Order: sequence, then C-alpha cells, then structure tokens
Amino acid sequence: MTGVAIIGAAETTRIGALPDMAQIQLIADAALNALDDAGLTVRDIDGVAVATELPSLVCDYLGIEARWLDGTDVGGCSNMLHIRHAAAAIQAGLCRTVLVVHGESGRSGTGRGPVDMQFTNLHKQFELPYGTIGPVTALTMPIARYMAKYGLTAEQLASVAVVQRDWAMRNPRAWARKPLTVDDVLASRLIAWPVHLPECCVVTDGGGALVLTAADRARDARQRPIHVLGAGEAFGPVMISQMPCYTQADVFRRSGEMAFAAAGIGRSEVDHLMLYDAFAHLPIFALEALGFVQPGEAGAFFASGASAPGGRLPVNTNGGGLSYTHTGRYGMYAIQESVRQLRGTAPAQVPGVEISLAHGIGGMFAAAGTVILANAPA
Amino acid sequence: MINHLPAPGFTPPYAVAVAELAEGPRLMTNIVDCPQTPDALRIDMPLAAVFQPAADGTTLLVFRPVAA
Repeated sequence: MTGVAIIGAAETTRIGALPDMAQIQLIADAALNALDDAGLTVRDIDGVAVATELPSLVCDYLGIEARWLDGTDVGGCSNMLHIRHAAAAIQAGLCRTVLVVHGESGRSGTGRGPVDMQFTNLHKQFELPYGTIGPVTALTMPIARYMAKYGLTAEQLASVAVVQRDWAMRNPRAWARKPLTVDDVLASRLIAWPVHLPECCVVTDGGGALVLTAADRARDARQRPIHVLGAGEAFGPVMISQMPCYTQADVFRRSGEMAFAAAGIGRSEVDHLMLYDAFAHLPIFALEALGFVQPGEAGAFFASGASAPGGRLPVNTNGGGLSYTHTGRYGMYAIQESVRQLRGTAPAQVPGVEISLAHGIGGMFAAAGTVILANAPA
Repeated sequence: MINHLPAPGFTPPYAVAVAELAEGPRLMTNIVDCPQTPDALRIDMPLAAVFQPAADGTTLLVFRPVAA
C-alpha cells in the first residue's frame, strides 16, 4: 500500500495518426485533459514526471511551478516507474500533486529529436554490426528458444494477436479493428521469423496523463480515486545477447514480485491485467514471470480464450499495443486502461474489476515496471 | 530470429542469432554458409567460428554450422 491515489486520468483528445501535433503538444493535450478530469489546474501541480521530453521543458510549456521532477527514461515502462517514484516523493513530502505525463509522435515524428532506440556504444559495437535494426530484430530474439523448450506453437502465438483484436473491435479508438483469425495471422507477411505482421505492435501518435496525490487528500477529488496498492521496477542487461535466460524474463519476475509484496495481495485477487505487448510473445512471458501461470503454460492460456471477452482473466482489454495504439513507449496506455476498467468507464468494460495490474517492459528486456491499482483502499 | 525487413548491408531474409562459446560467454552473431531458414537453423546446433571481413575494414566474428 503506497498511500497514493490517481485522481485524474486521460489520453490525448485524438489518437492514431496526428502529423499536425508536435510531441510537446501531445504532452500538453494529455496533461490538460487529465487535469480537467481531476477538476484541477496547472497551479495545483507541483511535481512532474515524463520520459519523452525533458521534464523542465514540460513545466515551462505548461506553466507549472514544480518542486519535484522525474525524467527517468528506460523505454516503454517508464510511466510505471514514474508512478512508483511519485508515490515515494508524495509520501516523503517532496511534493503534493504529481502529473505523470506521456506524449509521443511515434508515427509522424512531428517535433521530436532523432530517436536512436537507446542504442548505446555497446549496441553499436556488439549488436548492430549483425543486422539488429531495432526492437523487431532484438526483442523477438528469445521466441525461438521458448518455442523449442515449451512447444509453443505458431497458432498459440498468433492467438495472442487474435484475442486482442477481439477486444479492439469493441474499442472505437483502436487503430486496428478489422476481424482477425489465427489463419489470417499465419498467412500474413513474415516480419522476423517466427513473428508475422499482426504479431507486431501498431505505430501511432498519442499520449496520456495521470494526476496523483495522497490518498487522504484524494477523498475530496472529483473522480473516484484509484489507489496505487503497490509498484515494482527491475533492471537487467541492456543487450539482449546478455539476457540471463531466454525462456523466462527475469526483470518481469523481479518487478512483479516487488509490486505484489508492496501491495500485500496474491495473484488470485487480480481481476484484470494489462501486459505490455510490443510483440505477441511479451504477454506470454509476462503472464508466466508474474506468476499467473506456470512456465510454459501461457501459450495454451491465451489460445483457450481465457483472456478474451468473457474469459476468466481479461488481458489487454483496450486491444493492446498490437491493435489499440503504440507510440513507442506504450506503458501509459496500459495504465489508462487499468484506470478505466477500475472506474467502470472502459469501452469494453469487464464487470466487477476491483484490482488491476499493469506491467511494462523497457528496452530489450532491460527493464520492467509493474503497478497494482484498485478502486478501493487496501 | 530470421529478419525479413531491409537492413543496411544485409540481404533479407537473414538470421540474427546468439552463440554461446564453449568457454561460456554469449554474443550476438550471424550464422553463415547455410540456408537462412528455420529448418537449417536449429536451437543449440553446434557451430564453428568464422572471421569475416566487414565493409568498414573491421572483422566480424560469425559462425557456421558443423557436424555434431
């Protein structure tokens, strides 16, 4: 239990292909929408966390007088880490009300600097010379070994994309909403064997923002507070060639265990999951590493429809990065869907969600962040 | 992983692989002198080192399949 709650949450007004909006405008639009949702103004904010632009620039642009900033950028799950850091800062009295904000012109590249996918000098020396052109060639590396070890089939991998498309078809804001079958996936273009095009995330522009404050202050908020029960973060080697084990994501396991320990709840108490899916295998790795199924069982879990509409454990109910949206760092959109499900306002609402977990990856299995949220205090 | 997307200096499809040396260390590499197909490229297949000149004048450590 962190003693901190989310009292404002919103995405950008539009999402998808937004070449007319610079990245900082996406950030500002998301921020103002979240403040409006909370019934607050920029004058109420004294802490800012953001990964895609300098936090000081965001404060300047929005006119926020901050006394606490967090610019942690570990890639996709950065906003999960920001929630954990903001909760600690609020509890320590460093600030009272924090804006965690994300905006990213990932498709159009409007108003943002060159993106080098966090290629370090190590990547440039030891990985790029072998034709690893980015996440599509690096993040997909462990799948072949996982398939060989556990017998994951191409059909089971494809089912992750198919189930999420079923969710996306219920979400008017989703980028990809055409019906999709396992046969469609397997007949589609190979991108990086064994991964086909629908097993890769969409590429979009958008943003989202959250307003966090102490739970005892949140009682007066306009919205029903969404409580941060616990959060975790973990880090590993930056190069995928040095990943400690290719069939289990060690950073996912450590981040998840930290979040569950902080929340003081068990896996069976979680009603809803958001598992970061830049590619179709990531929810498989996450479901196992977070302890919801045993190693090797996740492929059958997704293929069985357990995560689909009407299933016993709904996963990625906005359509996920595969079908809803993915601007480069997807974590914020996963958290937004957790908040919507807990408020009862999701386009594809699951009945009775009381506890939701949002889990993200950073870099090429180099980082992980996990947040456990609830619509009541623990 | 067998990449089907265009990449500078490579003709797709080409495999990107991680090789584990007998001494323990692992490294990113390519597998040469064999078809770049799932049937020809197997998990844990034995490999031998090949020192391959690169376009920029450096030498890359790549691997070729060998009989078990």
